[in-house]
Amino acid sequence: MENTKLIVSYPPYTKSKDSIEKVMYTVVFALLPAVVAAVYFFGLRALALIFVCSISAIGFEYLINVFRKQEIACFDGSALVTGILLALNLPSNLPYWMAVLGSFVAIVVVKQLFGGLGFNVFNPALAARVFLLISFPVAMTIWPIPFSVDMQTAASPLGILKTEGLKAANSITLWQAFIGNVGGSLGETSALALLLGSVILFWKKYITWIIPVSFVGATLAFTGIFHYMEPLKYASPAFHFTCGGLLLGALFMATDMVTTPVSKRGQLIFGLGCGLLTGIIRLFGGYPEGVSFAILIMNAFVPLLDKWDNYSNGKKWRLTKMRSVIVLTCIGFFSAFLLYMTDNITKEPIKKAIERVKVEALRQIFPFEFSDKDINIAFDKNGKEFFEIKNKDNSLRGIAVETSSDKGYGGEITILVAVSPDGKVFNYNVLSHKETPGLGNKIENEAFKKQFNGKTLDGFNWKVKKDDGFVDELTAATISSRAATDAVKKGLEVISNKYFVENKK
Amino acid sequence: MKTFKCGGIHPDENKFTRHLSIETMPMPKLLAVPLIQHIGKPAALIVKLGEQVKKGQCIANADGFISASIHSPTSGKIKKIENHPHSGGKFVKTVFIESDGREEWAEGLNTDEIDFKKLSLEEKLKRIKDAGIVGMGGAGFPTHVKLSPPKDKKIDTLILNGAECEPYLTADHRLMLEKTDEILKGLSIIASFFPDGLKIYIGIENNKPDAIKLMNEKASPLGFEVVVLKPLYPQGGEKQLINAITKRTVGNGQLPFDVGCMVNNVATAYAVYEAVCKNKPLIERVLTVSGMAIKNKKNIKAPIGTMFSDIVDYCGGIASRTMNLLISGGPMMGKAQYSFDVPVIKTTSGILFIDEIKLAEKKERPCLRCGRCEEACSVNLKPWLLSNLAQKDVERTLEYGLNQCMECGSCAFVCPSKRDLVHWIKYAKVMNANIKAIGATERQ
Repeated sequence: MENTKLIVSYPPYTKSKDSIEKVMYTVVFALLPAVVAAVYFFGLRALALIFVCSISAIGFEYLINVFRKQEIACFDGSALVTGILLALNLPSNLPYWMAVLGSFVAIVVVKQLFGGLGFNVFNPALAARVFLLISFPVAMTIWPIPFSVDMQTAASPLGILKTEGLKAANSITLWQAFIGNVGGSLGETSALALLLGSVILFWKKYITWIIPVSFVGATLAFTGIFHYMEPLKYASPAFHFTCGGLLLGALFMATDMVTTPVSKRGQLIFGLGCGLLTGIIRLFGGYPEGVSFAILIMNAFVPLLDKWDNYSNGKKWRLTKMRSVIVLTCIGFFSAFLLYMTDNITKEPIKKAIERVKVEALRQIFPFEFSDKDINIAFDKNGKEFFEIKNKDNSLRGIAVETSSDKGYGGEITILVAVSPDGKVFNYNVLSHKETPGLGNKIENEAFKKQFNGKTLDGFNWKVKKDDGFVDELTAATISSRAATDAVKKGLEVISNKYFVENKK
Repeated sequence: MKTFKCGGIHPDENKFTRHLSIETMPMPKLLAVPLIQHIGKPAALIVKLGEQVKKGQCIANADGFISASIHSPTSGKIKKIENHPHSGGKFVKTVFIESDGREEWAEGLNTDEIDFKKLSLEEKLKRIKDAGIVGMGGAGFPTHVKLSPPKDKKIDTLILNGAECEPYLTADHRLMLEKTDEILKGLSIIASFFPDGLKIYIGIENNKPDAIKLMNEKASPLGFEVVVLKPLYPQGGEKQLINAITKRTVGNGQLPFDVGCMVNNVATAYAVYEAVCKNKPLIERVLTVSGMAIKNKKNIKAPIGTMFSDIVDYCGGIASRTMNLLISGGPMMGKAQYSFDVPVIKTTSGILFIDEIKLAEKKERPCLRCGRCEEACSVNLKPWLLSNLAQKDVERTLEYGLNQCMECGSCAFVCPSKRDLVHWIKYAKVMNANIKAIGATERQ
């Protein structure tokens, strides 16, 4: 008793085993599936980038600890989480020095200059990503294609949607996007890996369902409404769900404890705000992706949301079981309603809209003006659709038919060919293709199309010059040129079969 | 299984002494009896230095409405009266009594058991008041005051608190097992103060199945209902227990009788029985001696005024060289002591000897804003915000419900950054009280 040194401190004298390290390394563990997916799709360069980001983040943390004469806290896991999250937000072919610069912005500027762990207003990894995006717009928006050996690049699905429109974006299947086999930053491509990793966070109760569900729900609702109103202009909610950084943002960025509200009501509003802003930026903003901006903007509202509760009546807004059930049911019903809408009710408008598109296309390929009434649809014995343009006296002015060739570089090319009543090609229009942007898609150029003008099926070798034909192939796109030639020839063949061979008989 | 509505935690129970019977500790040579052992005004001393006192003799009278009298736990001589360390943390005027070893009871005390039904209400209340009984769960509110609530408050529910949700402590558990009949008689005495039609519940957490079984057997014939509770801290708190059993909510600034309830601890009920049926004042209590640093963990019945050093000797001494925490009470709401000379008082439910080096080295880390403290809070506060405001803008803590906090420590328990949330809340309370006092002086 005499030698015992007693400590006097305030209760409680027993504490839970939780610690900052435990929280942070659990998040790291939850990010592992996304890291594995990134390495699987983008190769070892992705792993190297993750290492560079993590180590530089920890290094900057250490340096600033030393500089600010703080306790060395660079191994508490928070810098590692920031590093990995930053890497997951970058394209895998980003130069290493840019990644290190990103770590510097994240750790030194956004985190430590605001006071260090627990005091930063903005999510460090996201702020650094936005910094890099604005500083190096080209490097930050060219995404390597998964599995490509020589780092071939492509736009991300959302980028395609923004610059080339819905038609091009629809060539990406949702399954492809869900497992992550699309262009994009390391972590955002695989929705599957992100969902898998987040399970542990939900299980450990490090995150609640409120922010992810309200965030994703609001995005889906917003994009869903526009998709329902104009299905050909706006992508479906499912596309917005699987493509881009929505899941990475909703599960790992918007649930960062430090920069999101503590109160449940605050979290609900935070999530809804993020979702709405994401939707607005994706549909109407200058950038294809809005998740980062949305979260950063909502970060700024956090202190306000947290101090909202009014204690004058001694009550605090709590997310009771009843309220959770109501919110979840509403979201569930709303989603189901949207699915029903998009699936059934949009069928008719889609069909009509497709017709409208074809009429537009027809106007482009015939060298003369005509009204909608002049179009007559005929069928051959195989049920193939022919668009006949009639004169006032009901005689034939021109015929158009949809044909396709599967010899394209990226798959099937579908075109609409217009032919005169005497079997001469007027012009054609590409309805859909998957050729390489900048090269193969030149088959849509007028200069290339012009070569076919006036050509008939007989008397011409329907091949490219390389194969002793008459068609001047496009530079570096011989395969695409061959496919286009093939498609036009096929169109001529079906038309001559129906109109000339049958007539001769 | 019932439990309270919001918040709550479940720390490791560590109830090592649950199977050990209560041992009666021999009378120590010197007892230190402080004059503050309850909430309210200190008792007024009525004995002089050098005076000879008998066991159970009143040495200090209740002074004022909320106060309780204090009795000599043994027969002997008043050796000195001076300020002495108290488990509340301050120096308190304390009467030192040197035992003469004869244990002579004062006249008319510790009689044979009488039937309490023969006594009138006034007589019963007088006996309870004269015995100096206070709430023995920890708060120490004088029981005679509690039993005479304002006339306009109608009590329809009486609850016996056998939750004992604090880790380590098993004193109430053992008392329920060993003094079941006496506790139930005490409860009947308390119930007799209120009109018929009173609903009587006995709330016990289901980590005490033997006590539940025994109580069920003996209480059901008397018309008392045993309520099995899901173990969750702080279920032993009055407001939480009322909520768990009756689903009523005791609001901000309300007292239990505002919702028609009254809660009494099992130890209090036992003391009431002894006071009314045997005319025995409150001079001893059952407490748990536990923790990894004490050689023999025990449940003991110790005289009030026994110094902790005597209890250490009785329990075989300290087993760990690295022991660094001496706690009066449980690990959640108890208080760390700086001296082994601190005496047992009426509200001491346990003494813990802890040797956790990690606790000694613990350091506050930055708040991650994870929100666990908010989840754990059973009175719906934002402990993280209160502790931040306490350090920056202490008056604003009042806007966020500072005074609703009962300092149960759930928030500090769950905090992954090991922040001293309770400390800062307590600090804010003191600072705000000071600001108010200064304001009042300035107005004068």
